[in-house]
Amino acid sequence: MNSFVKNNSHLFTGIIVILLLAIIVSAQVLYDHSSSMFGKESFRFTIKHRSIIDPKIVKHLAFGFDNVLADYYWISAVQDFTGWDHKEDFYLNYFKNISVLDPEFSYPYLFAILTAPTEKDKASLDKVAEIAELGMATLPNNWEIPFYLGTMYNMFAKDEAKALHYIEIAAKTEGVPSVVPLTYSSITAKKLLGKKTARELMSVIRDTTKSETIKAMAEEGIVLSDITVMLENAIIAYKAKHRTYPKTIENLTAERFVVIPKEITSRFDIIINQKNGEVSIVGK
Amino acid sequence: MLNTIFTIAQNTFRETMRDRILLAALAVVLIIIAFTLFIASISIEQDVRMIVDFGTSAIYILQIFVAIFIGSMLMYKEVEQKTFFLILPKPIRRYEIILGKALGLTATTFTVTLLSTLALFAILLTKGATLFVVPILLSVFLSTLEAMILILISIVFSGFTSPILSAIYTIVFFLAGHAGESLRPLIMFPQSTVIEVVARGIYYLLPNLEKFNIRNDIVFGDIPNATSIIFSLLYALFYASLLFFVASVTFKKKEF
Repeated sequence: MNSFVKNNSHLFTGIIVILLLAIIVSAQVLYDHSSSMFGKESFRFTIKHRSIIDPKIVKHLAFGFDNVLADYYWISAVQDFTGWDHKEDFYLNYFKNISVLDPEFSYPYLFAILTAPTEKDKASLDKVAEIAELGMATLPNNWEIPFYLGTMYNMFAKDEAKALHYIEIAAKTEGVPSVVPLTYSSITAKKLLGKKTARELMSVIRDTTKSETIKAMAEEGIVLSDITVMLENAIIAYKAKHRTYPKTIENLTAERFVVIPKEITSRFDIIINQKNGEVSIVGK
Repeated sequence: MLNTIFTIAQNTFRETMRDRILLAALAVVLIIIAFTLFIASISIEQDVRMIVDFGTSAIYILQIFVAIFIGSMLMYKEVEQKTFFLILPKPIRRYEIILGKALGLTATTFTVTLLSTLALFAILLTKGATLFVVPILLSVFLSTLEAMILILISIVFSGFTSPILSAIYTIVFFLAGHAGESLRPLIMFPQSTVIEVVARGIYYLLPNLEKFNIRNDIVFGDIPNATSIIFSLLYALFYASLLFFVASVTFKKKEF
């Protein structure tokens, strides 16, 4: 028996390795199956918390790896964006840390401005503005940061004073595309900010950016802005007929006042303000 | 004298280049450089930046690894393998041995840096990013100067302590060398004169290694001006000379 094992030691080793591998793989397959790791729902997750080094001390802990740490936070922000519940601060802290570690890294400022503020948390825009202000101080020739910020103040916070303030900074930046000061003049001449202006501002972003991602975001902003205007017109017509505002979007679609693409209703909640008929489109 | 130094440097270079730990570290860095392509793919239009940042940092880590870990083992190995006792009776001065060892290991650092930089260039070429050649070369040159200082620090420590402690002390110097910025508030807004003097002393006496870090700037295509580069070069040479002098004195007094 012993000599048989000795003579076939390679065979026995091979069998043991294959057996162990089979057990390991089976265990993992069983586990994945039990927790539906590969189910579609596994990709829908909400991140509640992330431990991020405080922006005040992150620079002191970088030890010459500031750029790589900034890149790490950038990749983390991109990865966590879809899972972020738009409430927890960690997402903004990624951008805070990036601005501390590499203040000249301009793309994250733009990404933060376009992605962080939502209808769910309008105060987040002020937090983003704090980060963007640092970018504006470091990159005084970058017109995009103040312009995007002004656009978002117009779209989400409906804060005309701040929107105009930032768009003015953008318009006065050296080397800015001529469409920016022209848009600023047009806004100040009309003395009116609102949904139509939001569309105008988003169009400027779409037409001037070199980034395909930002272009797509601006496209979506334009579509949402158009839908908002369309919905508000439909609400006016509904009120004229029923003397009351529609409670839900279904009231409008049922009577064919408006047709909303399924792609929009599946991704966004459309809320109608019962006091003034204003529409808010909030990401699900 | 130059011949002796050159021969020791040549032997050190050959010996360290055959070191399996070094080859493994080089292989890991080459894998990391290749992996930057994946990192780039998930970075939303920041691919070139990611490749340059992670690539140059991987090269930098390799240089630091060579300087600290192989540097600390340099003298210890000679004593352990008894080869040091064969050199000692010969008419060779101890400072010649130190200089030869330091130059040999610097040459090794330079070689592995060159190989990994070429790999980084190959990756960048796939992205058509050829604009970064000069900034990257300048960045790795400056980090090689930093590695040279760290090699000498580890040699100084290996003169009176074990390789592990020597590596730990060198790491402390490396971290302190990059923490100069953190000392600035203590100097600018001192709580007391003592703190200010101590902070100022540490700030000026410890090597300011951030001087050799331009990795943050090169991703934007920025290159420091010639004066700044020359200043960094002179700083490295003078600091290396000081460390070489200290190492020579330490080894002169050491009894084997």
